[in-house]
Amino acid sequence: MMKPDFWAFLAAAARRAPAELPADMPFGFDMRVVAEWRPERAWEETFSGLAMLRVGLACAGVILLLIVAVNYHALNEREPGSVAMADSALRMSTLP
Amino acid sequence: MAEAGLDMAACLERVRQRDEEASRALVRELFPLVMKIVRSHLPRRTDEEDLAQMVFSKVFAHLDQYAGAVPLEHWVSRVAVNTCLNQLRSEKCRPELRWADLNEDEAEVLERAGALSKEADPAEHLAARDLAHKMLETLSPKDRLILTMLDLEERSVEEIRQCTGWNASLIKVRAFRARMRLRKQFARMMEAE
Repeated sequence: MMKPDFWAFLAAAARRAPAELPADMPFGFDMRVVAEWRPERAWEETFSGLAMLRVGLACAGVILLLIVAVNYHALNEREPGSVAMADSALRMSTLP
Repeated sequence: MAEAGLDMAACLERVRQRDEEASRALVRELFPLVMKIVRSHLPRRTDEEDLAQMVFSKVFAHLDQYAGAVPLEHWVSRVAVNTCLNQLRSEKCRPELRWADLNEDEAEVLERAGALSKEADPAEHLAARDLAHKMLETLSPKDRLILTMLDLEERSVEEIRQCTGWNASLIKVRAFRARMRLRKQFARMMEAE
């Protein structure tokens, strides 16, 4: 006789159990949740930081190129003394 | 602890603008609701706090999808129920309950389930609740969820429909079949004993 309604009896008895105490939020739980949610935003900030770094590197590159361009001739110019000395030696040996 | 007189709409707006203080206030406001659901449907090997945190993570991650058509509490309840359901699904094995798995109080409750009166010792009712949860653990996650809400929390089919999004007929049919399974299991246990 008990078998068919076993679950009903058990559920009814379970419902009569003293109610569980309302859950108190553990200390710092809200902070943990918000901190876990923060990485997404942190990533956005990091991403904008990376973009600025890229712009900075590009500017530095342009400045470097300009410096090289401005000083191109000076960098490629041979030391005037070495050619002049060779010329004068030739001249001295060939000329009477 | 619930926030006294929290203006939910204003709070939500601030949360969407990534206001940390508002986000924390929202967590504090919704914590009792989420914890109640988590405790009712907690998988065996999961810590309730971890599961609650998982629920809140989903709530914040999908907050943009909340259109405001239903109260926020309903939407959060649905997220919580689905999170618990997914967690229950991840527990692949559903062990069959045997007489030897029961403690003394539970075995006694099982023997005299039909005779437990309203005036019985609260400890017996607590044992009955533990036993009911143990038996529910042997069911599939959906069946377990439905019977917990219907038979232990005495919620209506309509409330379950709102919480889960399943249709009413499916809920009734599943509940009927799940109760049959529990009765069969009970019969097997009694025979084995």
